[in-house]
Amino acid sequence: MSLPGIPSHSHVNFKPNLYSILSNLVQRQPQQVYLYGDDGPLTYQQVDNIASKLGQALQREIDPQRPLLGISLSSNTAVLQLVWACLASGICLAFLPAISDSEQVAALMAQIGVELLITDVPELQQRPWAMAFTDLQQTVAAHDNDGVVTAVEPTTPAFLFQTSGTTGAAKWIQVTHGQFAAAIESMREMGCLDHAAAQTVYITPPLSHSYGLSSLLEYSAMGAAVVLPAAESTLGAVGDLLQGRYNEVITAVEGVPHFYAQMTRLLRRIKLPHLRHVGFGGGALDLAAVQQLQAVYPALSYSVRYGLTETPSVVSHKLFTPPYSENWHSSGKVLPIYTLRIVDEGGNSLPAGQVGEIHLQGVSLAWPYYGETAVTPFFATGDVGYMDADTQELHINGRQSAFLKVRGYRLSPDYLESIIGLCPGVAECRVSGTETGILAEVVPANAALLPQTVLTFLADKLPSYAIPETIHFVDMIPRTHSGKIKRH
Amino acid sequence: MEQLNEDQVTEKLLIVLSKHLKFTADPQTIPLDKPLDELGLDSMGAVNLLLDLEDSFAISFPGSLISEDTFRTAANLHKAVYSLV
Repeated sequence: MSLPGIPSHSHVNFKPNLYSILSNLVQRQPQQVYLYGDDGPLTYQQVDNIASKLGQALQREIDPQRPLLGISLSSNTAVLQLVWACLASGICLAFLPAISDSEQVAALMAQIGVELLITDVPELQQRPWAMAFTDLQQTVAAHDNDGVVTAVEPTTPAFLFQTSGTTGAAKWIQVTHGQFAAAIESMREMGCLDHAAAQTVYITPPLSHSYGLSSLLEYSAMGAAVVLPAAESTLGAVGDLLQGRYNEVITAVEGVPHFYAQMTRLLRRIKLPHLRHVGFGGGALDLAAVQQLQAVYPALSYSVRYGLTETPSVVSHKLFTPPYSENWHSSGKVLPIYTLRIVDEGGNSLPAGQVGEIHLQGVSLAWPYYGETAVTPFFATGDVGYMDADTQELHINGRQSAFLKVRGYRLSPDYLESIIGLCPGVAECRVSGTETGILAEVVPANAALLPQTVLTFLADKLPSYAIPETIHFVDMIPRTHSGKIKRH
Repeated sequence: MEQLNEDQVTEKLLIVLSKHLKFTADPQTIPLDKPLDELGLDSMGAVNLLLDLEDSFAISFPGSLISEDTFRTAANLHKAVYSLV
């Protein structure tokens, strides 16, 4: 079943395929609600029926010699259904961007040989290689089939993700059933998923991104129910919370730091009466957001995950529970399926406590990239951090390329931003290096904030060389689609 | 805050709005009926816009007005804001 041209990962021996996550739960709790999405609540049994029938319909549309499907969907609910449909039918799912530029989408499809695209983007639906998601649903209704689950090998490709890669050029990452399942199983064995059991989790990152998809499969593996943002919400995932569509059932939230920065600004307006857990991904845990959440929800548990698109699920994971005696800057223990090295600029391994680039190896590492072969045994992540000698936990300092060199000191803008963000009256900030020193662009939360207030606040929190020379008040900080600060 | 008339609301609204549109910086040139997402308002920008409007006009959007429809065009936003001032 492996795809031509895609290297297989024969060293992965984990047997159960990913669809067993859902089918096990259908046997155990068929009538429980699994999904709160665009079409209202659906039970495990209902989602299983939809997914297996969609999978069967897809098998009719797709060349069995080349079981590969592209999706370009703005509806998270549709993505969830097609994720399970493809896992059920042994079809590899390639995530393409939900954009209207059909030339660009066609070029990306050609890179990996995708011949059929399921989409809800109107401009794409007209193209001969595309099929509207609603049309696919209609073919299911017309055939009235039983739905099947196709057996797959651990080496069967499950997902293809696009990434900007460390060089900036577009790359494709292929993850197999075995790799993803091994990562989730490793998390479960480490106790990293204990907090996920019996939750109803609001997954705010798109399911077409590695973090969103990983969260979906992890929480599902623990029998949790899933709440998804509405398909076309102008105010995004935060807007859904303001409208309160599913607020009564949500017990956990997963999101990137920027989502929480927005959510905490609206905290007095967002009522989540049963909230118990807040998970951070796609960046460092935002201490300012945690402080504000604590004021309203004093007994939450928090988690932070360090992962890459090249690693399904996580590399490391850390849980914080009351009374919060743990180090908030830790990213937790590394899963035993990975070997991690911290190296200096010459590629030499560094001892615990010393900061360097994180290099990674392991069964679930989806690298080398599609169509490439490895020249080194370890993958250079481009992330910088260190292992704590006492706790053996990983600490992340930021991206290597994003580091500032100021007066001979190497500074992490992520860290400086997290400290500046703690200053009362600072809504958001971005730090960059200039010829004269550090520039901090700050979005004030109120008109009373003065640059001097920020500098006074920082005086006893940062060494003098790390205190910005200039504070500029700005209206907004430019961000990428996933909410990360844009850096030049 | 003194009561603003409809034109004053429009003028002030467009100044606030212009700060949140990536593709249009001049308040004078914002087309009232063009979809705001085509002018460069994304979902993250929309939350910031919501907060900025509430601060600038000293109003609070009720949940019923925090909708896709409200944030579709400058004209729709104007209607919502004017109903709240």
